[in-house]
Amino acid sequence: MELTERKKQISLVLLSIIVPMSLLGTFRLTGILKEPTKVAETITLETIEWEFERINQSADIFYVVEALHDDNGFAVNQRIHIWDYVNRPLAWSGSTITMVVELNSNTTSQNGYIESVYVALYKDQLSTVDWVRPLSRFGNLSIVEQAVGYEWSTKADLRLTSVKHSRSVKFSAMVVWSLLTPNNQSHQMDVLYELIYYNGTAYKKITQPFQLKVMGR
Amino acid sequence: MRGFLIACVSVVRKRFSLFVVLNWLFFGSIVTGALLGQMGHYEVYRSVFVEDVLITERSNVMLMVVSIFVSNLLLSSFLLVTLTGLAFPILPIGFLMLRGLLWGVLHNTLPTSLFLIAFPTLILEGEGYVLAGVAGVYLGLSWLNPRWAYKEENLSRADALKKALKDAMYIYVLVVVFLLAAAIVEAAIISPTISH
Repeated sequence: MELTERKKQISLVLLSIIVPMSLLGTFRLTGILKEPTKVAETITLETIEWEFERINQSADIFYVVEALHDDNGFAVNQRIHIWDYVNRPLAWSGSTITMVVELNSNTTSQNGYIESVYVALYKDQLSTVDWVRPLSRFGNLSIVEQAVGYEWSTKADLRLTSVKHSRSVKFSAMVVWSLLTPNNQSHQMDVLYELIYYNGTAYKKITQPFQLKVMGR
Repeated sequence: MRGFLIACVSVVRKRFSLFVVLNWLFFGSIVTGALLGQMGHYEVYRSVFVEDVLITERSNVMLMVVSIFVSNLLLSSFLLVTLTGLAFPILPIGFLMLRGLLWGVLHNTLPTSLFLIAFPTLILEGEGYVLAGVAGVYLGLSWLNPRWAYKEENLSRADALKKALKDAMYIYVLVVVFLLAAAIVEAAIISPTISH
């Protein structure tokens, strides 16, 4: 009797693991859970750099760092508008650089479409990066995930997916980069745009890196 | 040693129904998470900070095993699942389900080969968390209402809590076994994948 009860218990425990995990495996193998997009080719474009020397006063910058790429009916334009530098003498409150990261892309290919866009802002751990969400605009793109770059994290990022496989997408998102150091300290941010598109036959990924340097006085 | 392990298992067997229910909830949440991930709901992924906190040295397999094991045992099991149960017995269930959803979403982003290779880690590590959840729920129940935790015994809150703590220690022996096995399997899978 004890053995039967024990076997019953073991069976119930095994069932509670095997049934869900088998379902999971079956869903993937039968295609109900689709495999992630397979990128056939990744094109990494040349890094575009921008440098700025920290100053002891606030100033408007209004500088645009820009990249353009055109490939057989597919075009993408990534831009970073650097708006201003707000100087704050107390390091803990942070001097700030306000900027807008933008992307415009479209394809004229008959069966082509934009699949997804990913933007990551890699920073050091003496600065923070915050998205100004109310001032962000998205055209034919929906947010999959968006993360703030806290002091302890390595990056802030934004993952977008195109709405109904759009052939034209754009977004504009405001970012505040807070430098939590005195003006004699330097900082660097590496901004990475990744765009995946379908050209009618295969998925391609375009990677555009930007490097923003703020030099200490 | 064998006798001690049997004693540990018998403590879990006394809480058999809860163990099976938590198993269903946890592994069911993984399936639900994978389906949610398929529909583009990645928000859950960002709601848990644990995965971002763990920075593992990935070139040294031994260090990786220790790092994964310690992090899973102290942070993911003890702090998130067991200790929260001591505060309120529903919390371990919530954290287990949230972790299951998170795993499902993340797991769904893997290519099919890795998706299937990760199953042993999911099961071993998942069992560790479910057992930690059983300990957590009973710790909470013991002070909330000793009769819910120990029906046949007429224990005071303090006595019930002491007994639940003792039981939790026995259960944690099994948690350690499962999480250690999971860490070894995970490191064995991760290190060649990364070097590749």
